[in-house]
Amino acid sequence: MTPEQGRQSSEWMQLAQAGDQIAYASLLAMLTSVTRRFARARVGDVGWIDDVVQETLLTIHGARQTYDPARPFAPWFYAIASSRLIDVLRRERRVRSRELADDSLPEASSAPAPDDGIDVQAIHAALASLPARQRDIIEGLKFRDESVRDIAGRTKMTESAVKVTAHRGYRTLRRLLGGPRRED
Amino acid sequence: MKTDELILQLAKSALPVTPLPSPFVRLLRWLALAAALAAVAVLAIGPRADLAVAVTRPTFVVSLLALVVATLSSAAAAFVLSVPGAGRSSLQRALAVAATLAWPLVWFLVLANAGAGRGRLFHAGCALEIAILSAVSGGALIAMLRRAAPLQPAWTGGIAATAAVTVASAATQVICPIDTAPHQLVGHILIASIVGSAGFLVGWPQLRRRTRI
Repeated sequence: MTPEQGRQSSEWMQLAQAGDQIAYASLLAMLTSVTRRFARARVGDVGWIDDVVQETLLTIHGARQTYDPARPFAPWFYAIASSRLIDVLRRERRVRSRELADDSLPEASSAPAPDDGIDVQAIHAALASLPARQRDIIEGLKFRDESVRDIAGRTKMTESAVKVTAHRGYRTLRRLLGGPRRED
Repeated sequence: MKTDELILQLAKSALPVTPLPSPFVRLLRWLALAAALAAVAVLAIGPRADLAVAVTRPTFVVSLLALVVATLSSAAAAFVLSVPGAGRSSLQRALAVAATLAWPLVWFLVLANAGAGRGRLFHAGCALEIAILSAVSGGALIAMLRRAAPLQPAWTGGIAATAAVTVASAATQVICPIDTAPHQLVGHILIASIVGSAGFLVGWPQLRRRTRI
């Protein structure tokens, strides 16, 4: 973050604290690119950079009342970005450690696959390997016909957080099931 | 969800917020509350009858001083940790840990030099005072920390629990007339450790939920 960006961020954040949604959107848009560069500089061009960006934005949203306009913006922002980067890095390592290696995937059943070609066993195995919260949300949305609002109420998360968590779960499932990777 | 959509959602849901006061101001507020609670407990139950004599004994004074310093430094560290990027120093946390450890150390030294002495090992009143005062002051501290953004919830929860049990133990020391090392080590320090651990196990998830998805 350049000194000019730091000054501009501080101004936008003060406006955002007062309820200016345009200034807040501008701030988050700028911080998106700053966070992306920050994360890439530390972990390279990995596939989960957007997770770090989104986690950072969500944390900034929940912590914006802790920014003191009398203090510089950059230390406040980088403390959050560093923390989220470490959290996502740990989570990715956990997910990777749970993923089944190709050679340990269950043998394809000799029974004929269903007509639609869906391998139910593989889906269950992939679902079981998700972190508990992602699995719970996806099962709620897809198997229990719960709405995002229902799940947000039950898990005490925001609706945005439920959608983001579900999105990450879908992406992990796609990766585990060998489907095409869709970049955001 | 695409990041652009997330930005729009967050911006739409952004209501005005009041910036939190500085960690120092919030520390003073909590200390005022904790001191008031401790004073009410001491006045309600009654201070030990020999308090005027006890304050002339080095063991009593050093033990009480260690508890007060542990409370101040732990609570200060917790409030600083709850604000991203706030000026934090390892010295602050080291002081909190050192002062907290000095408390049992004083009584282990008394045990080693003066022996066990006569007196009850455990008194339910002391345990109740420590537990209730810790729960109330600790609950208030966790609630105040949750309004901020503790990015290191385990550390924050641990030192918040320490602040709560040390302020409760300081008040209990002013009430309890039993100055034998075994009673202090078992009836106060062991109980405070158990209550603090329980407080950490309750408070940590509260802080974690505040900042994790």
